[in-house]
Amino acid sequence: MSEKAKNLSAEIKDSLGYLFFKNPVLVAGLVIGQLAAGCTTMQNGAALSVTYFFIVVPVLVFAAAVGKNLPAWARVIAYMILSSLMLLPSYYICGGFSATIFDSVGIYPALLAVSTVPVVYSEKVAERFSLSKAFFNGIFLALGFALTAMILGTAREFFGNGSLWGYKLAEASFPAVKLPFWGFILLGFMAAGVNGVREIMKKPEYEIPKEEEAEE
Amino acid sequence: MKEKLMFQNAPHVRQSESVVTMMSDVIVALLPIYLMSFFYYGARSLVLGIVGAVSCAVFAFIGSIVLKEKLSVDLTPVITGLILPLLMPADIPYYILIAACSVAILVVKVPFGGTGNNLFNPAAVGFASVALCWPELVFRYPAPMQVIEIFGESTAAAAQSPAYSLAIGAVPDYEVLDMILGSVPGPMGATNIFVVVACGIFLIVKKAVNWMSPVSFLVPYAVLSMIFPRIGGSSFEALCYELFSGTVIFGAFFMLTEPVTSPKRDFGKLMAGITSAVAVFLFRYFGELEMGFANALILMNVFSPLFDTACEKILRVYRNKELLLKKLGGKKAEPKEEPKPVVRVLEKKEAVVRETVPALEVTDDAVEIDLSAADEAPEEELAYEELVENEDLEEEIPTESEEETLEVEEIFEEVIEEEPVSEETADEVATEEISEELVENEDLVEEISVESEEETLEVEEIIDEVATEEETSDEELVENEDLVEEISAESEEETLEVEEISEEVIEEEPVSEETADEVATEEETSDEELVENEDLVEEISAESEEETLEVEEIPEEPVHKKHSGKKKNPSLVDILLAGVSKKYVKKSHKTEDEEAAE
Repeated sequence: MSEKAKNLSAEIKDSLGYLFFKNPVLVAGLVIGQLAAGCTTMQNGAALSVTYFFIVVPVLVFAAAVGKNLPAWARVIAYMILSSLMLLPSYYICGGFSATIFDSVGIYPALLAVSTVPVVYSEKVAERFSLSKAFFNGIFLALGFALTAMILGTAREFFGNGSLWGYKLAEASFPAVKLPFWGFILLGFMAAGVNGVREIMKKPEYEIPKEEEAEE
Repeated sequence: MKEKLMFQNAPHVRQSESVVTMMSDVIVALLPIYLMSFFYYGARSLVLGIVGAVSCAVFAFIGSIVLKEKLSVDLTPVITGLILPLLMPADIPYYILIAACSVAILVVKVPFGGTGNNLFNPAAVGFASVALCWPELVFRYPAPMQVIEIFGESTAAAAQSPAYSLAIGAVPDYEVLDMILGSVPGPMGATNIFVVVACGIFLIVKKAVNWMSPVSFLVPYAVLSMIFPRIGGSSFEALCYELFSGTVIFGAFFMLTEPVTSPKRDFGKLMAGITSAVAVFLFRYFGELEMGFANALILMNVFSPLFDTACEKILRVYRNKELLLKKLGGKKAEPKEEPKPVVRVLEKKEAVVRETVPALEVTDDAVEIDLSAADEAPEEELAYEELVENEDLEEEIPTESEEETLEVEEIFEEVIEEEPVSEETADEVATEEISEELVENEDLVEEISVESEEETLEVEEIIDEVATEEETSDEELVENEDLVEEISAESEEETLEVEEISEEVIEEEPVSEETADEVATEEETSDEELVENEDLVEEISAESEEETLEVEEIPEEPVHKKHSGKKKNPSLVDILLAGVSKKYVKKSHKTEDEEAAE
């Protein structure tokens, strides 16, 4: 296997953690407010996920490619302009599955454009990451965000409205779930679940060899 | 009969109050409220209370399993389970109550660590959750004095509560007395104001609740209600309707006073009460739902730690207000007076004593103190209290004695001048008086003289101590000098002896060249050894006489007469110096042993 391929596989392995064990929302605590307040249905979750994808990936790639060449004072401004411009394609794509979806989400896509990843994380990427690593980081960050948003939106829509993707399935059993307060509570439970799985899957620091156990 | 010994672990001094006793007091306070609700709504109210308490206990047990903790029997889940039904109508479905209990325990209490660690009031959050979920069921109150089925759907007729009337801007159709007695539709446990207030006072008397919280909440709320009434009419009516509607008074005594989420300091409780009153009023004034108290309480729970920290800062400023005033006034803080070191005082005392009291003649009979120097001495030097007192006393002694002698003389003169009543009586009286006075004066003089003697002796002791210290130091120096002279004298004698021996060796006839060479080498070695010995003598001069005496007692070593090639025989100098120092003997022993081994 060539070195390039090895490096690529290593980068992909590192970036895979953003899906679950290094999830940007449940572990890093990024963009919690936007999800808790805006992600009340599956459609809202999908819209926010698409928007986040179109913001994070191009900005990180741009930062890795051009960031070092820009003066320090202009980098953050450039990243934010780019992330704001990327709202247009996300608006166009989300309109494909619902005309009013972007309106129901409210200001939260715009808040995603100025969140931590495009403003702060892109600086780190510009200094240290290669193009390929920045690309894979962006992809898996967006996938991790999408996973959280879809689970949250699905739960809140089902228990709050009794429907999935707008299709009524049952009576609303717990309408208060749609409130931001319950959004934060549910995100907290999900984060606790992720931490619990991490604890279970974590290897012990020291393992007693089997021979010593047999002697004992 | 065997006597049993009581064995207890520490602490052995315990308070009578504990969490269990506090919670049991709250349960006792809630029982009359449940009795009144039973009176108005039937047995369903009691069943709701039991269901709530059991549900919360079960959820607490589940939480303890999840947290892997031992289940604590502290009755706090039971309190939550008893309070929640009292905030709801009497015909609330059981599943809504169980949902509220699950939220209160499994969402508000357990994830944050269980009892004592919850951030929000569990009952408030549980009620708010179900009120948001099922507002049409939670805010639908049955009319009082109706029989409500214990199980199944309720068929009781609903009525408009006073809180709803106020929310829509209408005047409630009930009188204030009915609201006080509880014969109005509303939450199950919050309508009977009279019983609620009585139970609240019971909690305050039992010290399960701090009076600061409910009072600091109700008074500002009442003032705001009078100032900003939601209905027309007199301000007193507005005040009564605002206070007696909804869960304001019930929440003030049973929910605002929760020990975990309320501030710890009294001043913090005051601040929290006032802000809670403002928040509740705003929620009720501008909010649509009748759950203003629960929402405001949840909001205030967030700021409880801030109230405590603000209280601490304010109290710290109050305690240090003097320093603060000085800083604001621009005055510098006065430097602290350093304590006078005792050593300097003693040294100065000695100097002053020597200067002021130079001549002291100690006699057995009287004490003559030359105070001329003390009188001439400047006041600044006599700044020490003891010296001042001594000198003052010394000055007072002659004056007092002089005064006393004058008095005695005056008495004699008076006695002489007075016309004698009778010779005998006059003489007796005079003698008696004079003798008494004389005795008193003599006693005084003796006391004063004794005191002055003691003081002068003390002064003398100080001087003697100083003198003896100097003498001892001088003596020690003299002793050391004597030792040095002795040692140097001994070393001189030894060197003289060595020289004599070497001269004798030289005068003797040479036996042969070999022996001459050997003698020369011996001389050389002896010279070397002399040098060594002189160094040693210098070392020895620093030692004491006792060591030299001990060393002299050591017997002389035998002298090896035959010379054998390479072996080093002990020289005459070695033999002579063997009696000088022990160390040197030891060294020679070592060398001989080593030589023998070789």
